[in-house]
Order: sequence, then structure tokens, then C-alpha cells
Amino acid sequence: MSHDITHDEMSHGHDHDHKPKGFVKRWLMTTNHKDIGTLYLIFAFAMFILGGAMAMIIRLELFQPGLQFVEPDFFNQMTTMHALIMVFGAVMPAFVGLANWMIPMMIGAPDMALPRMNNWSFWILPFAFTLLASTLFMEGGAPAGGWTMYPPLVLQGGHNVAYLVFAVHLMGISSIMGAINVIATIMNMRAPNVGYLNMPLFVWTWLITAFLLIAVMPVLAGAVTMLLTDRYFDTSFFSAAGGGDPVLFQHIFWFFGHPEVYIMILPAFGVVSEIIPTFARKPLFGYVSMVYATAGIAFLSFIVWAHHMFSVGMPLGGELYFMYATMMIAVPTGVKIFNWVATMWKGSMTFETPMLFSLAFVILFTIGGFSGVMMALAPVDLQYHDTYFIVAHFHYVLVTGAVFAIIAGAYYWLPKWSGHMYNERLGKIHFWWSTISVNVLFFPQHFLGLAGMPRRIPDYSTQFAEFNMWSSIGGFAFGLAQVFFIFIVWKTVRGGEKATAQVWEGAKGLEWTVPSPAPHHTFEEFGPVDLDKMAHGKTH
Amino acid sequence: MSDNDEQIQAQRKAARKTALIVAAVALGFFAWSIYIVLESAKG
Repeated sequence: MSHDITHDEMSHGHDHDHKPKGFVKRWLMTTNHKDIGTLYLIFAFAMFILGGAMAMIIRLELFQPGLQFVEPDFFNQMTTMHALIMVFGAVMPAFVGLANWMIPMMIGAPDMALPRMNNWSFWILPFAFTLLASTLFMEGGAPAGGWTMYPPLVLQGGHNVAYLVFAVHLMGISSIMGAINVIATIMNMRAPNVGYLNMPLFVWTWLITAFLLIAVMPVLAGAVTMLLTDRYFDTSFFSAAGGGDPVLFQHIFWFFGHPEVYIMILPAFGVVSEIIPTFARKPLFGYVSMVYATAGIAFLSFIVWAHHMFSVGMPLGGELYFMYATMMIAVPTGVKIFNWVATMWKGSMTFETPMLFSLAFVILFTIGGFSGVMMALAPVDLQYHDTYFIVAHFHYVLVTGAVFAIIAGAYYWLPKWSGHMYNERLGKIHFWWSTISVNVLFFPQHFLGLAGMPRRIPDYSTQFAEFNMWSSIGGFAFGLAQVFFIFIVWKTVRGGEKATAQVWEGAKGLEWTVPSPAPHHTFEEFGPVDLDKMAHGKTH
Repeated sequence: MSDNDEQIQAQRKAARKTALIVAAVALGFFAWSIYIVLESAKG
């Protein structure tokens, strides 16, 4: 096996690609990474629409002061369920979908390392979310104590606690199995001459994300298991009355919760790091420093959790430590932002839809990052805590950050998946519609928070009326823009201009050497690949 | 079985080993989260 695999050899099999026949065999029993990737992406989008519908209910109620449409308890159910569904049902599965589709093709592997476990990882999810969504129809309704599930509040919500805990267990098992598969694939299934420092940055960010998942999802599972026993088996892990400590739950939750933020943003960094070099027609600036910065962010994410708890109270030394440690995250994040800007510097840039979403990501995620640094300051965090300022902050990070990167990735790789080019004009309309409306939606929330409007409350003082009205108008417009996105994707999958193998003029990487649409099986021949075809094929 | 299949099988075997080690680490984190709460309750 001494020769490098050429394009033609790699595409071998595309005209007899052995797709299983029949719906059940093709989708229910599939072990193919591309099919499982598609299932993840469809599931994530369905959850995005469901979670988005809940956000619409929240914004509808907040359109005007006073109680108009929903009861306060149902409002709290909506905020809780919206967060749980968006975090565990939409953003995380969407990135796992992208990982499934792209990682094997990017490293020259025939499939994920453990294909049957891959199938299982996905098919657990619909059961988990059916369990969670079923609580909406139970007596007492869905969980309403916030996605953070703080005791004792969460334990006062009837029997939805059991459903919530088992749903979190299932999501956790799915995520852990997905992470194990990603790690095993990247460490063991790379083409023989693809070294770690030849891997695309998307693969690197996912490898580091997978280790984060392995470290923190079991911790969440442990925490919610103890919640369950406190609720049903008379233990007192977190009950002060029985000698337990409810604040300890908060520590454990945020030991999971803060790295969770990076679980949702590191793969986004990876997607953007693929797209910007393609449309700037330049190699990624500072590839190795990007890898170290990603690892640095991941490490720091473990040692900053208590910045979520400044208002709970802690010794001054603790406040100072968590404040400075948190601010240090700005350093590796800044390395990334500057590297993306340097990649674009003097590049032959064009502004197709994936690039537009990536540029918006760089700018708007940075706004979210800056408001994060503001909140890292312990004394002023007491002012911002539990206000709309934090809501604005994390939506800039997670919507204009993670969700924009997912949309950018979808436009970027859609021609490779479907074999058709999307309509560029419609893509640009979608971009401007989304970008303007998302800022109308979230930017006024900074002012609302600074003026003292609390989060998770369905009514507010009349002084907040105007900004809330604008925020709701932005929310409805952003929601509609995503319905338009469904139309664009549907239209592209159905037909359109045929995509070439390379798709984008500046694209470089093994995934762009296989035909579009990518054959059902790729890189079946074990052997070295042509490193010149990889963006980072040369030794660093 | 061809050379190609054997190579891929060898990769998958190594991957299973990696997966088991990573799964054991995950279980360790689960146990640790409960252990620190129990320890705290004692104190």
C-alpha cells in the first residue's frame, strides 16, 4: 500500500454505493456515518423549531407589560423547556451531526470507529426528548425551575422531576457515546499518514470537545441522580433540612455547566476556521496557535465554574480567584479572533452565504465575549446577576455564536451533502434577515438588564415596555427567517445547480476530493492520502 | 479477508480499546461527583 490514494480511487464505489433499501434498514438500522449525520441534523432542526416556538411564546407574553397570554407558571415552564431543548436537543446534536458527516471524510476514515454505537447514540435522543416533552401534558406541567435544576425549587415541581432526570440521563448517555466515538475515530481511524497536526481545525476542536463531554456529562448525571434520590428515596444530598447542602448542587452543576458552554462553542470555532480560509483564499493564520488556544480554553473552562455563583456568596479569595481565572479565558479566545482576522487580511475575499454567517459570527460572538468579561468582574456581576443582561450575553454567544456557525456550516457543506448548490440570493436574504432581526431581538436586552429587568418573570414595570416590544418584534422576525431557511434547504435538496467535487474555489481538504453528493461509502481503501490536498498537510 | 479489510479491522480493534478506556474515565467522573457530595456531607 505504497501509493497515495487519488481522487478517482477515493470516489470508488459512488455508482454502486450499497445504500440499504427500505426506510427501516436505511434510517432505523443505519450504521453509516453520513446517514446518522443527516438524522442528527434533522432531529436538531426539529428541536430548534420546537424550542424556537417556546421562545415565541415567551416573547409574545413579554411584548407588553402585564399578563396577556399565559399563566406565570406556564411561562416558567417555557423558559425551562426552551433552554433544555435548545442546549441538549438542538445545538449539541447539530454539532454531532456535523461531526458525523465531516470528521471521517476529513481524516480519510471509511466511517466512525464504532458504527453500531453511533446508531444507538442517535436513536436514544428521540426517546429522551419524548420523555421530556411528555411532561408538558402531565398534571402540574413541565419542569419550571430553570434549566439549572437548582434544588429545592426543582424538587417542588411534581413528578416531572423523574421524567426530567431520566431524560437528562438519556441525553447524557447519548452524548458520552457520541464523544467516545469521536475520540476513538480521530485517534485510531485516521489515514496512516495523517498526523494530529495535519488534521483540519474542525477535527481538532471536536476532539477537544469530546474530552470535555467525557469529563462533565457524567458529573451532570451524578448530580441529577442525587436529585432523584432526594425526591423519591428520602436522601438529603441537597436538602438543608436533612443536613445536605443545596449550594453544593450549584457547584456540581456549574462544574458541568461551564465546560458545557465550550462544548457548544468549540465546534463552532472549528466550523468558522474551515470557512474563513476558504473564502479568504488563504491558509488559516496561526494553525498551531489555534490548536493550543482551543486546548487552553478547554482547560480554563474547568477552573472557572463559580463565576456563575458570585451572588450566592463566597470568600473574598474565592471571588478574586474565579474573577481572574475567568478573565484569562479572553486571552486564548482573543488569539482565535485575531487569527481569523489575520487570515482575512489581504485575502482575496468573496462573500458567499457561509462566509457572511462566519463574519457575523466573529463580530457578534465577540460582543457576547465582551459582555462575558464584564460579568466576570465579581463586584459588578452582583448588579447584572439574574437580569436580562445575562440573557443578552448568552444569546449572543449561543445564537449569533453557535447557531450562526451551524447555519454557516450547513450552507458550506450542503452542496457536498446534497450534490446541489443552494440559491445564493436566497441565502443572502436569509443572512441579512437573520442578522438584522437577531440584533433587534437581543441587543435591547442589554439595556433592559442594566436597567434592572429580572429574567424568568412574565411581567415587568412599564419603563421596560419599549425595549421589550422591539425585542419581541426582532424575535418574531428571527423565527420567521429560520422557517425561510427550511425552505432554502428543502429547495436545495430537491434540486438545483449541480455541485462540483471541490464546490468552493478556495476549499482545501480531503472532503473536497470526493464527488458531490458524497458517495455512501468513502475512503474504503486503507492507505496514505495525498497530504497536498489537505489544508494543513505540510508538517508544521 | 483482503489486506485492506485486515487493516481496517485492526484499526477498529484499536478503536474499541480506546473506547473502553475513555468509557472507564467517564464512569470515574460519575463516581467522583457522588463521592465529593458524600464527603461534603460527612464534613
